[in-house]
Amino acid sequence: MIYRHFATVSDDGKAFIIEMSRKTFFVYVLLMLSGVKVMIKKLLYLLLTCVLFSCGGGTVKYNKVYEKPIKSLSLKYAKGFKLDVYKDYKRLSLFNPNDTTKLESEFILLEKGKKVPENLKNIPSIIVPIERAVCLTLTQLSYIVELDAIDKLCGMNSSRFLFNKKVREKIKEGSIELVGRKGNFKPEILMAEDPDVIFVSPFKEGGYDNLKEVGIKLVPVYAYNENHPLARAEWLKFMALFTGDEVKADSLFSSIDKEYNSLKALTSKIKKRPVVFSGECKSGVWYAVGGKSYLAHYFEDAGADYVWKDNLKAGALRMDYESVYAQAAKADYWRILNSHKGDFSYEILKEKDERYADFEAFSLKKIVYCNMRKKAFYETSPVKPHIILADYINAFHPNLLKGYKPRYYSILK
Amino acid sequence: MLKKRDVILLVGCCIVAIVLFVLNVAMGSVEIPLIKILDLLTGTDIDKISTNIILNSRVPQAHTAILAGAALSIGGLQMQTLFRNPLAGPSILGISSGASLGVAFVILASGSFGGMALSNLGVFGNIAITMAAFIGSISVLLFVVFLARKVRGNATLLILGIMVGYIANSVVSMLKFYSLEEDVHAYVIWGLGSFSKVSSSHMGSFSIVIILAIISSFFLIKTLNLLMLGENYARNLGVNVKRARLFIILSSGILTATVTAYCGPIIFIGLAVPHIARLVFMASDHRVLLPATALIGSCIALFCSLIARMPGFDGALPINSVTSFVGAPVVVWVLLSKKKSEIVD
Amino acid sequence: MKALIEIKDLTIGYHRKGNNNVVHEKMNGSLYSGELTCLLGPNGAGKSTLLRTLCGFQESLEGDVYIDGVSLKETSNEDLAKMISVVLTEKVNIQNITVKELVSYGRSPYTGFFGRLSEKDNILIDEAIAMVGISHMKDRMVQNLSDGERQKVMIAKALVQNTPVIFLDEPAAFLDLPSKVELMQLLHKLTMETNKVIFIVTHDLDLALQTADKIWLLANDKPLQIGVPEDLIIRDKFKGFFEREGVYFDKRTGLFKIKNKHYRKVAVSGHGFEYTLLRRALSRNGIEPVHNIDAEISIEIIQGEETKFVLSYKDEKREFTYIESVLYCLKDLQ
Repeated sequence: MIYRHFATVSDDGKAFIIEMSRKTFFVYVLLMLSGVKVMIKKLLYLLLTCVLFSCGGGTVKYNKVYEKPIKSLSLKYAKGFKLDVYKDYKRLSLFNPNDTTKLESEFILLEKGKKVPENLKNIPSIIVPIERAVCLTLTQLSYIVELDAIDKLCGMNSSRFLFNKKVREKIKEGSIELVGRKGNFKPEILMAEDPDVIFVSPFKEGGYDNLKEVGIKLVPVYAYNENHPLARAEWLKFMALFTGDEVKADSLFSSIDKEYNSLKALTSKIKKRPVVFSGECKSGVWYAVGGKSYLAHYFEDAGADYVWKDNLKAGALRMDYESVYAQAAKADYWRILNSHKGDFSYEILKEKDERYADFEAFSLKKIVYCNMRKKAFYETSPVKPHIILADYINAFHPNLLKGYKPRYYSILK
Repeated sequence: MLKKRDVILLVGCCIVAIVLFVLNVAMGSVEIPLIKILDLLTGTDIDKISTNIILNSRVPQAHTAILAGAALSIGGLQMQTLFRNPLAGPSILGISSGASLGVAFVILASGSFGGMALSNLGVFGNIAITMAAFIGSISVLLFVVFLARKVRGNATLLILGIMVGYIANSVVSMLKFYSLEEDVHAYVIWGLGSFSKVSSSHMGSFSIVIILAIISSFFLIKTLNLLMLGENYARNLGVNVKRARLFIILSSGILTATVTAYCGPIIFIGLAVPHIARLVFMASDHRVLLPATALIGSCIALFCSLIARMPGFDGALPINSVTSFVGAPVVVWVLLSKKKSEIVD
Repeated sequence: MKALIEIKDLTIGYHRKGNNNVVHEKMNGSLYSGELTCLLGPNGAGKSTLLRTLCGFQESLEGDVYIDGVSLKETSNEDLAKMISVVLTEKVNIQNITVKELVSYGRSPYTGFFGRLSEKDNILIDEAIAMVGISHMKDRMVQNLSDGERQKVMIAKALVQNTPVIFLDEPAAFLDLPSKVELMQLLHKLTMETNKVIFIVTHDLDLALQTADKIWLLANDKPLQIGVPEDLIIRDKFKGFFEREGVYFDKRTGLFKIKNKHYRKVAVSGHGFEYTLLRRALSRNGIEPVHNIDAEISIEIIQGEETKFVLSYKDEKREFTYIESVLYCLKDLQ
């Protein structure tokens, strides 16, 4: 049981502990070196308390009192950011969509020429629209591409699959620099690029902490943590704040929203909902997602029942093969997303693990499949929830969308 | 030959192994009533889901545990006797490290360094990993055998084997550094060991190789006994020491390589079970010790597999965490409770 | 008498790239059945090398060893196992094995696959155990035996191997004197009873000279000397082999004696073994015992119910019962 508890300590909890231990040690060493021997214990405790509260990020509860904004950006689904508009500036607040009581970061967005009010000088400010940006995930890229703002991109991470022609060309000619990959970013290149902003993923190790010293703004993007497909798409509006395309973002999103909901309406009256499960077994452990996750929403809106829909987690689920088999053996559909080299097939799936053939979805050939090597999944799907939904509806209820050509997911032949 | 006491104990071990086998098939994260299992065994049809779970998941896994436990224990015993070193295990000559290196090339270096080449040949998933592990461990084994013919002393051979292990590990570290997160994760998971990777269709080839290797290890019993006296005495009694060393290394190597290829590197069993067998049977004669080690090895492996799959954990625990957790305290307790002179020195 | 083992122009040493390391060249000799032979020589003389070559553990550089006419180099390991058995200095440290089981390993060259023992094997094992006199402990664990008892077990194992030759490498090395004597006598008895060739490498000169039928004397830069111990003594062969500063071979007794440095002289008169012992004690303390009466100090031994030592110094006379007191007195008078 202890094992289970440890496994659930969040990554940022661990990061916090590590950070605090590091600071404590640093201060202690400093004191030792400065030769302050007298009352060192008392001094240490005093200093530590001060240091711990003044340094460090901004993981403070969101109860600061600010003056009232003129208006706030209206957001239908997205929970990870808030924008308050004032006379001369805008304040952007960022949250983890799974815990919106805690303010993760905030930025002041200024137009060129405008100045930051005195009382807000301690909040990092960014001049918008920006000229040079670096993005470090494909999700972030998807917004930039959709807003047609590729020219503002000067650097991005190396990723295994990149389909966008324009971006690839720019990388080839050197106007977009590759700055490393997850866990291993190259600070020198980042500094040399001198971007206005670097969009970062909040939970992954970056190795870019020292960039803060150089004055480059690191903006965490929580889009991936949004659990509703439309919420994730709504982050178009977030990106637009930086590229200066607020109006475009708004209209783009409205049409996505409308399209998505009309598709959803198609399935709302369905009485017989097929059962669907997802994931694969790796070394005895089956990795799937919880009932409140992004994927579960898709299934529900597409008129299917996710096998683990009653599960309350939004994140990953680890289960052993037996339990999964017992629950999903009779499921109607099996959704698989992978990056298989070549043509994926039932035979290949069976070779990975013979027991896969025991699932009904396998024997009835009802696997809903997307190959990331062939489809530009990660770099476009965040802004195309309506298309993904249509793909799923087409897979689960083909009669509802006659003549539809699937873009990402289709039934594996 | 075999004393009455030894025979009784061996039969006892068999019974324990059978009981553990049955428990392994009966228990798991999904509850299947014993009656259903009995029905299945007597030929009555039960629901498809339970049938699949029992026949495609539980039985292969228990079967693998029996064979892997026996194989690793015998491999460990052979290494301990050959090198006259109680801390030797089946992987001491770097064979597991070789397997790890092979697998690292498949999992970690996908795309670069010629990795994933096996997938280009149309071989995927577990098969690719198994083959890579085999190639890696057999390469190391052949290298060690080659060295054994050139080198006189055992200590030199041991150190060379350990060095090979270090080199393989350092190459793997380098590969890890340049790999994607999920690939490193997959590699780590492989390294934790699993008895569930041998599917029903591969069970045949796996079983045949292991059983043949175990049978051939019995032919080395007399040689092992004589080697216990020391190389000079053994030579005087007619043992061709160089050839004997070669055969023992080959036998242990094949047992270890096969298990590692199919199950990942399983730690601790090969090292601890020979000691447990010596203590339970109070014998040094390999005519008793070899079968005893094999049986106890199967029992321990079945036991660890049972614990790893107990309901209550999110998915099965990796085997290696259970083997060390369960076994190490046992050995420590046994060592502390017996007089020093009774333990192999 | 026919020699069972012959060495002809045997050159022993170690193979090295380029120059071989030669320990001894062109040795010749024979070993006969029913004889106990001891190989003696100072440290570093090459005794171990010779033994290893004779056992077949090491290849000779030149020449060969012939056992019953057959060359050692041409004999397979299996055949050799039935011709030569060994008892070495290595300590066999196997746990949980009985005396009988350890001895039974000696039958390995004759047993089948798993080392199964036949009726005949068991009889031979019991006989060998009886011959060395450890029948009463045949079911005891070897790890609980003393060093002397363990050596007997190894000898029994060599016996049961039923070879015409047994080579022993310092079998009494770690034993106390009574056990050493017991072992050598046992070996001599076995030689006579079994008519085997028993060849022992040993450092115990005194015991060897008393128990061996033949002595092989090996030293650096000297040819191998072989002969009956007494002949070697008479022909002064031991001179130069062991003699060094402070050691000399006393031909009369056939024993090595310690030559002490003498710093003063004292006249001693008397007879009997007390006389001999007093001389030895004085000699050990750097005092040369002399006969003439010119010495400053003189000691007279008076026999009686209790032996007394009378020490005369100038005009003083002192009487002592213990040699120790005499020595202390002499020290005071220095």
